[in-house]
Amino acid sequence: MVPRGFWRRATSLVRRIDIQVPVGETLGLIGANGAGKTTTLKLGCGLLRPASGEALIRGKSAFAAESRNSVGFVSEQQHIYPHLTLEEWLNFMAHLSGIPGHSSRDQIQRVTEQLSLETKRHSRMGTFSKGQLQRAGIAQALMGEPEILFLDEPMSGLDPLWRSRVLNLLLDYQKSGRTLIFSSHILSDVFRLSNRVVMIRSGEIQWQGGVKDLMAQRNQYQVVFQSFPQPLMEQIPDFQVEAMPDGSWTGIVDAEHKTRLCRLALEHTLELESMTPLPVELERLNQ
Amino acid sequence: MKISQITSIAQVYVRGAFRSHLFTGLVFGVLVLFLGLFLLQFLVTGAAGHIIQTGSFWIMGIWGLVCALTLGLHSISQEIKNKTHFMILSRPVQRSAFVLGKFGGIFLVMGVVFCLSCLLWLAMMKIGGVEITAKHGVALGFILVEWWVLAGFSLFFACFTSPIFHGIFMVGIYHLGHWSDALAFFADRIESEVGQGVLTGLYLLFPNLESLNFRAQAVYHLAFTDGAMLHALAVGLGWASFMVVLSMVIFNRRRLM
Repeated sequence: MVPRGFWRRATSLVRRIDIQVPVGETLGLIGANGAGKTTTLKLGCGLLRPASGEALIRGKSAFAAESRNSVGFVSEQQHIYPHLTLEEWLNFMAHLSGIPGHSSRDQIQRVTEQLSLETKRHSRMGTFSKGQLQRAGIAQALMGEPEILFLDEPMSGLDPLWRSRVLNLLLDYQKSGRTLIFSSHILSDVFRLSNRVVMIRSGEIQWQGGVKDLMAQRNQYQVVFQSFPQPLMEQIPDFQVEAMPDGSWTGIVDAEHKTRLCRLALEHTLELESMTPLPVELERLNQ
Repeated sequence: MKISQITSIAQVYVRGAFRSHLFTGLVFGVLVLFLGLFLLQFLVTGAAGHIIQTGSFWIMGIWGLVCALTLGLHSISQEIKNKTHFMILSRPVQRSAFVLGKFGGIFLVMGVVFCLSCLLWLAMMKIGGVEITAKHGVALGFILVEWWVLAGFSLFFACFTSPIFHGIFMVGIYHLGHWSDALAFFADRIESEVGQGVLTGLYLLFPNLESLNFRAQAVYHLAFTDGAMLHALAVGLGWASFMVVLSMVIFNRRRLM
């Protein structure tokens, strides 16, 4: 609950969120903008205190400082001190986490190498590009090798090369048996990283389950025919096809018509070339 | 609450103040005021020494308000505006440590600005041919205590108000603090018990900044007791500590989005 407006009326941003993340699991939060993913992450890592209910880390209130001993957090937009150099910032974060001086030097070396920021160590962060800032944000979260990582849109602002590198970095992190909780709009990242997915809509859990279950929620297929699919067009009035340069025809069929399409293909009424499930679209799942 | 975390937060604050134009602005501002006072001495005839001393003390006093206001605004409100507090609080840092670190930073930056202002004050005294006594030292020392009281109030307001209200409240506290003696004076003389209670209540609600004022004693070589100094020290340190504790309580309860 947060006070909003002139009369400071209490408004709830998320409600009835019940998520348990076992150690070593990777949980992906998906949902449209403003659904409550960031608030859920902030509640989870103790940055916000819930008005009712509780957020726990290893059985202790996430709001208690000691619960965050082995927690790393990456925000969607990097909130930095522009006057600090990257090394000063990482040192600051290390001090706050209680990492001793000699160890913090080694860790700064490690994370800056992992994220190719060695040349930027002595540059002020106010001069960084968006991608560099995002990498710096990930670097600070990895300081102290936290057991739990909370990442809010970790790929935001990264180019395709760095998206892939960060994804691999997170996969390595995942393989080491640590816990990862992240939000993303990019479903391919969610599919690749997560063991479990929670879909949030208007501050409430709309759906949660394994990635395989989510992938099973195909609701569209791309179909390619060798000839014009007249019988299918007669049975599905809304179905539209497009002629391809090689003489084939292609179109998108909703999952509800899958059986009908397969039957026609088996009866040889249709010259079906291929049928490819389309990745589930976040927008459609959120409808 | 770890001391190393508090010192780290204070260190980053000090670094920020020195590397931004904030510190330069505060030093330049007090320099301009002293320059104005230097020019003013040529416009007066007689008692120039008194005018220089009174003016210098006034500058030192009012600059405490300016420093507390700007540095306070630059502390928590700025952090919340830039959302940098989330990065600090995502670490195992208690909110109280965050507030204490900020106060430490303000305290240190104010200390440096005060020292530089004292050098300018000293230069003014030399120019005016004023003989500096221990009483001047006491007056300056208690001005520094007043700066820290104002820093405590500024931190307190920064924990929950907008910058505009912060400014209004700080100016209000500064002036009420210097006039709160009058409330006690009227409370002693008023016949109505209700009025007496209200005035005494108001007197206790605001810090008595006049009790920290030993400027007249320094300028006119008036005597003051050790008891007055101890009372002033207790008032100053008491109010500064109280405001810091209150800031910690409020920031702990504040909902940060």
